[in-house]
Amino acid sequence: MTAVLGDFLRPARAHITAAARSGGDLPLPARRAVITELDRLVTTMTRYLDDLVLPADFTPASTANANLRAALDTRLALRRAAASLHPAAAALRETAADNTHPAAGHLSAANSYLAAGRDLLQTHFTTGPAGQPAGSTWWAPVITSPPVTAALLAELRACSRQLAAWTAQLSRTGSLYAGLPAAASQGLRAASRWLRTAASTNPAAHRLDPPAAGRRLLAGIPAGFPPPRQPPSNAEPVPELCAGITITAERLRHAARTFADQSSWSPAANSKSWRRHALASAITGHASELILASLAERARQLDLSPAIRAQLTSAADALSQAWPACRAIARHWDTISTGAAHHGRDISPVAAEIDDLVLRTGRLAYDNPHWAPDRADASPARSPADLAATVSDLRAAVGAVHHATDAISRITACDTDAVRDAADGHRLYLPTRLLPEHYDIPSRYAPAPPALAAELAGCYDTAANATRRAAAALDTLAVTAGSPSSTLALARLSAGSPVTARQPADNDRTQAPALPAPLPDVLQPQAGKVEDILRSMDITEPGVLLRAAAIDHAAHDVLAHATVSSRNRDSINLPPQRKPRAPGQAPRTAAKDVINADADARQHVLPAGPVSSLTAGHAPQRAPRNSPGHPPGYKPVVAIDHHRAPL
Amino acid sequence: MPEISSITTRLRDADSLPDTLPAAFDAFEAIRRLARGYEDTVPALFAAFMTTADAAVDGREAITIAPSLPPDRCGGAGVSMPQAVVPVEEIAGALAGLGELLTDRLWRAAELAATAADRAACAEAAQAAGHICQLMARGDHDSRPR
Repeated sequence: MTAVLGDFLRPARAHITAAARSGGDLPLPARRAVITELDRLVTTMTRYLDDLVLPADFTPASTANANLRAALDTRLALRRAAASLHPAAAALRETAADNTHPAAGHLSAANSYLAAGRDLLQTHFTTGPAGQPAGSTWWAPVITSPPVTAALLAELRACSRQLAAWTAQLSRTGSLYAGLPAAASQGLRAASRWLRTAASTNPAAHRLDPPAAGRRLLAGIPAGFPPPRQPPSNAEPVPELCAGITITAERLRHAARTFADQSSWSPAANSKSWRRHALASAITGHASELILASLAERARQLDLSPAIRAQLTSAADALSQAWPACRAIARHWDTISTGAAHHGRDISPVAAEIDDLVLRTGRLAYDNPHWAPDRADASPARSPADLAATVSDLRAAVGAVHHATDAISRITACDTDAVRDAADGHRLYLPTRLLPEHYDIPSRYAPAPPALAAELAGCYDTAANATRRAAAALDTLAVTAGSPSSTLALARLSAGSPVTARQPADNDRTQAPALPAPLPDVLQPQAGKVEDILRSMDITEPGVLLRAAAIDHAAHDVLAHATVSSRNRDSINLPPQRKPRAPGQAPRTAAKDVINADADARQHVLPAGPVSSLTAGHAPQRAPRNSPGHPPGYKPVVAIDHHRAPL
Repeated sequence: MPEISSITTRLRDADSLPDTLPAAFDAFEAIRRLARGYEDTVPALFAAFMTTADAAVDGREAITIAPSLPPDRCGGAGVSMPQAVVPVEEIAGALAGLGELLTDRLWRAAELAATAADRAACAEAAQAAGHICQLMARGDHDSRPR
């Protein structure tokens, strides 16, 4: 079966728990190894959140939505924790570490699992032409949906909580007496504080866990590539048929999505493929209706709840509307064609495999293990007790029909768009031999009349709606019955309103933070450390410290941007020989600008003392502030740096 | 069954490629129409008739692009549905027989064809006809993997 994210998150949590059980009193070599592994692990955790495209801090979007605010806060706290651990690990690089200690091994394993889980998520996204992330699977909008994002945040907060408590122990028992370099001890303590902050960034988290649906979806996210094909074999028993239908449906969903992107140019985007899709959808729907009718009878025999029985009947009714709509499409393709230019042996990847779905669904519906759509293999419907001996079997059968219906619904939806494009592009024809004899057309195909093309498109709309309704009815049934396919239902519900996007994969396994990516050959100015100011004022409230860190982070971004702008401007405007600047001139000018521009702010922030005291070396020395290109009233944001420097 | 017998006669009488191709075109169209007309009669045969109609379209489309298919439509493609109620088993048997005849005539036509395009069209149509024959044949319950 396809790997799912839960296969990685669960063991990662277990390894973190096991590592934390080691306690704080570790031998020095093991302590060194643990700090190095912690650095890697927290960086990986940070990357999960770096993948989310969140609104910029201090924007209305970031403050209006509590969930987004919580995501931003968690990300920032984790980034800070990682940034604290980097120097700690670097300070231990040349020292002997005991990498064989179980605690280090557990952390290493947790990191590997989390990294693999992140890789799994990345398989659902590609990088668009402009570098923007683009979902490439049906699961992509689910991954970025609010419930799944909330569940992911909760998972990372839970990991942070465990690590925070443990690292606090490690730093208490270690400190200066453990033989660690000062940078390592300090980094560990700071990381512990930030991990604790990350664990408690969501005020609602204390009162309300993320909904179970979000957690189930998160754990159930599959890898973004199809499972291997398993062609039907002879005489598959019911459980294997159900499992086979699930696999085939998953493969068809992938194929439909892939083929949809190719429908404007692929030679396989032809009437033969689309006709085959409609044919198989109609037969699958027909067999599925039989299965549901049989299951409804079995539910009555097993005395299942009236709700399940009613929903089985309702789903069967919905399918009884869906398959005739698919058949209507197939009938239209009897006479409409994509013409000689598109006639060939090329068929779509969906058409190449959809017979697997037909065979397995038919073999589940009919009392013939070798069933095929031949007259010779026709047989009566399978008996209800044979279809589902137990309630568990009934759930599995519901899941199989659910998957099959979901697949044909998605295939029909994709074909609806593709065929409409073909009609708009005048790529639909009729064989002239089928036209009345008074039509004198010398070629073998004549363009399909617009009314006929519109009729075909209308059939697709009808079928798309009907199959979607059938899939929705099965969504309800799957959830009520506790079918293994209920994840499909949750995914469909969650995919409706994505609030976050994802960054393209960086595929970077180094310890450098993934975001923001450092600009090449650009001076990275230091932002003012408002957080340090607050700490010096003995403010320890995590929320306030986090806001301070957010301010620092935003200042860092603005400074980086200003530096680039300034350098670009200088490179254009300034002559090659520049007048040497006196030491301290840039910051002094900058401070003057700020004083003139924002005296009120200075009243609260600037300390008493000469302006020359503001030259704390934080100004980017290669970025002149008073270059001729500055407009009147220019306010360099670097002033934030200088405000707090003397403190 | 008169609706099929006239086409069967045309196919049997066709002794050249330009005669066989239009007759085959009309035969496939007859199979398609009849199969469509009987889809709903027996639920257990729904898939068989649906797939037969699809195979008939495959065969007809293959014939349509054969270069030697005459452009005129003197034979006429119109095939009416049976006037009387014909048992589904009888219809299925007739379609299987027509499919078998089509297969035979089209493979023979493929051998007669002078151009590769005609040969390919006839071979593709013959395969579709063979599929129709298999779909509609009574047959024993075999256990071939499919």
